[in-house]
Amino acid sequence: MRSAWALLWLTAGGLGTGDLAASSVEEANAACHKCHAVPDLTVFDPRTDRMVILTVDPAEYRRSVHGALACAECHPHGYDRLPHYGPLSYPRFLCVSCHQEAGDIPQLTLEERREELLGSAHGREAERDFTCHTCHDPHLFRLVRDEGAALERIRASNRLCLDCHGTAAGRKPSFEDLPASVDVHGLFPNPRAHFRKLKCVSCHTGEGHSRDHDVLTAIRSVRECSECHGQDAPRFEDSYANAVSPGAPEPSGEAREDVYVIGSSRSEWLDLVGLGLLTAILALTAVHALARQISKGPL
Amino acid sequence: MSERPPEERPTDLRLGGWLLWWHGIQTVAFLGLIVSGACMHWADSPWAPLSFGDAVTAHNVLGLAYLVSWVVFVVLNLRSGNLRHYRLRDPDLRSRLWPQFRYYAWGIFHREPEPFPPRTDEKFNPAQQLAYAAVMYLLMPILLASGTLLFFPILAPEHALGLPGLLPMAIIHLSAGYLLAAFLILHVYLTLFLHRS
Repeated sequence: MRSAWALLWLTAGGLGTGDLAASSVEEANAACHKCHAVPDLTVFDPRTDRMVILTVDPAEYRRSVHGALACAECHPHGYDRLPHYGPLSYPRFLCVSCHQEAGDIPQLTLEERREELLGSAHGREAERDFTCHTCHDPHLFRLVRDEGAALERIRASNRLCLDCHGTAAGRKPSFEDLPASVDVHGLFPNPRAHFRKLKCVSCHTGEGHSRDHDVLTAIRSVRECSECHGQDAPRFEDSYANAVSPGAPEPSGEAREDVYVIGSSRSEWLDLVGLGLLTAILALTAVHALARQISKGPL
Repeated sequence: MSERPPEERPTDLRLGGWLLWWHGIQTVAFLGLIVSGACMHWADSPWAPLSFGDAVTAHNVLGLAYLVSWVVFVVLNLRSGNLRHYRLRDPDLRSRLWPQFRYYAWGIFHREPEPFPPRTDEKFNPAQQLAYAAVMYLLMPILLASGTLLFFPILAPEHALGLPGLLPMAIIHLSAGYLLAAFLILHVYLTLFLHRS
């Protein structure tokens, strides 16, 4: 059954030629959407003692990375009856069962991610109910690198943080909309410019493999400007590297589209010409002054 | 145009009044802008005397002072009548430039008289006239405009010349900065050590 669904996923999403398969998924999901497309569909989950939002926007779901999957692929048990039986939320790191065990879908190094997460600022929460799905809503999640131009990818990345770290009013489209964050980030000479063109995790992560999951507390985050404001600064390169489409001929060039960073974007050629000009002028004046001395001209 | 005769009583070349104060402010601001700009440009250099944050603050404050100073110059230059020295009145500028360059390259070493000695009605020689007019009314507006756009990045175009908008601004700003720094070296040498001698 799983391999059949995996084949369906590959056909519909991976190869992009699966109109028929995609329509089959749509038909299979239509019954679910009848209830779950209703806005603000909320129930009380006695297991976690919390209210759970069960709404899944069909359009958003189709655009997500899992959009080509039928609902039953991840909800196989207890969902064929109404009302549904069984747990309303998943065991921790359920992603592993597909992304590390099934051989024909994208494999993720989830064990490394888990270690980074446990050692991160989210670690304490991770020991309780902080899972992959806390940030990566499986019904909405899209790869940041698929979000278009660099600034859109940055916004998409930051949205994951702001879903929780926004104001009490809830989700905010951009860090720029958080006035308090300007005060908190007073280290920046121009906080709003940084919010617009920088991912939160660019500074709020350590030296891990992904630089996304090992989130640091404010006090441990990067405070040295030259980590980004230097030519070929490793942190600047890394902060954009995972937003680059696979196979891009010049990763750093693509990553820097729409992004200009003082010091990091400097042209060696222009520096060569500019400094050469200054050196030539200095040499010229020195030679001129010396020649005047030799000719006994007034100096 | 031929070389101009000297006045019977040579013009006093010393700076006075508002021009003296203006030159003082310009000197402090521009040297500070060069240092802070270099600290930002080579932020990863271990020899940078200012941290990146301090360099940005200094560059912003001095840049604003430089902008105000330029506006003050334009207004006072117009009102005081000093603008007449910047007017490129002679259409045959090229033929006037040659004797001046020849003097700098040859005549000065052989005690020849200046081809265009300063006069009350025309203080600058053709080379000075061209350089000062270009610097004050072309290069500095370019430097200040591009700097203003870097200070208010929201005003910069999203894209220019097929590049992300701020990058061309930075290239223009830096190029103008290099040219002005080169001018500064020549200006100091020519005015302090040559024309005053």
